[in-house]
Amino acid sequence: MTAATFIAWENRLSKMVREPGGVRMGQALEQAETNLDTIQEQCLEAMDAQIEEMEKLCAEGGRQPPEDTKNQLYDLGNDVLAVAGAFDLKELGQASFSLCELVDRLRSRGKWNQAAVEVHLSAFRLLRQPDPETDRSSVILGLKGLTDRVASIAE
Amino acid sequence: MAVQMARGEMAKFDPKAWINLEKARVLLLDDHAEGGQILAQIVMGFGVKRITRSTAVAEAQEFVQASEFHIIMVNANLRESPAFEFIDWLRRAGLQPNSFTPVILITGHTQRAQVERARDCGANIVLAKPVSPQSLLERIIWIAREKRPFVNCDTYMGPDRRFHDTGPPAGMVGRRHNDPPESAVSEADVQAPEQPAEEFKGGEAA
Repeated sequence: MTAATFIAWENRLSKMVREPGGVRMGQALEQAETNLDTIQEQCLEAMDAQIEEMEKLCAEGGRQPPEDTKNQLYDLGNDVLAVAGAFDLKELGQASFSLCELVDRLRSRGKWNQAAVEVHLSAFRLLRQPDPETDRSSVILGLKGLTDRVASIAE
Repeated sequence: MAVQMARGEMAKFDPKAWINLEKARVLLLDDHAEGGQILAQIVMGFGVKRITRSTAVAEAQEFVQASEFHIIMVNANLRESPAFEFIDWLRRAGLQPNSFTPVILITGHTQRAQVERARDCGANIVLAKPVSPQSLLERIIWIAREKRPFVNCDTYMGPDRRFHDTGPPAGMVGRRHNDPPESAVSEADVQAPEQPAEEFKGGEAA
């Protein structure tokens, strides 16, 4: 066990945020939401393109895709997660998290399950639409259960 | 896998309180275009005027060697190079003051093999995606109150990962100069004290 050195440091941010001026925190939040509105359409368009790309990768990769395809699916899943949740598509974000978990656990064991990935991507399409009839929480529960079952078998 | 990183009580804030980030320089390291845009738009909404965006670790390294930053936000899921290595490098680079600049690590899904790296890379706090204005402002307020000293040892350089000083684990000799000797540490001594969240008062109006 080695000795640890403790270093005191000056938190420059601490003084700065208290300087006169700036904005009220409530206004800061409102302005941030307004700013997000200005990029929502563009971000969602890019996200839709990423979902299309995932579908294509999944179809082309077949039952034994190359590692690069698995890695791309994982990265794109994380991209969808970042955008969906920021624009009121919480369940789509949760579905993409489940897909990333599935892909990560399968690829780390050198396994694959195309059907389980396809189920996730179908759910993406479903959750992308603002259909009030869809029982979204059940869809997410189903995806998480699927990921756990498939990954447990692989492990 | 979601990263669970111990963290203090999240800052509660009064929406009428003031916060001044006009002079803050923020570095965003994110190679996902939309993710980076989301972060940038949120921090601009908070009044930040100087944002430097980078999509690659090597570029971010150049930026921190050339300019001072007050907040650094890093996407943990960089494609080309590991985000954790950037933070580890930053902490050990000996750059004054940037090596001590608060780092917010933004995580999506984290690979199981990387969870420990995320915890041990030297970030001040982890923020799980999706990022919302509220969650990010809470973290910024939290890091503005950050007082933990940095720890430097063979395996780690960054903010003390212990949020409460509860002494070394029972039966072990502590490595802090002010840790009590082994015999003085009992089970009763290692109960973490309850610390209520401190309300952030904010600054003053201009």
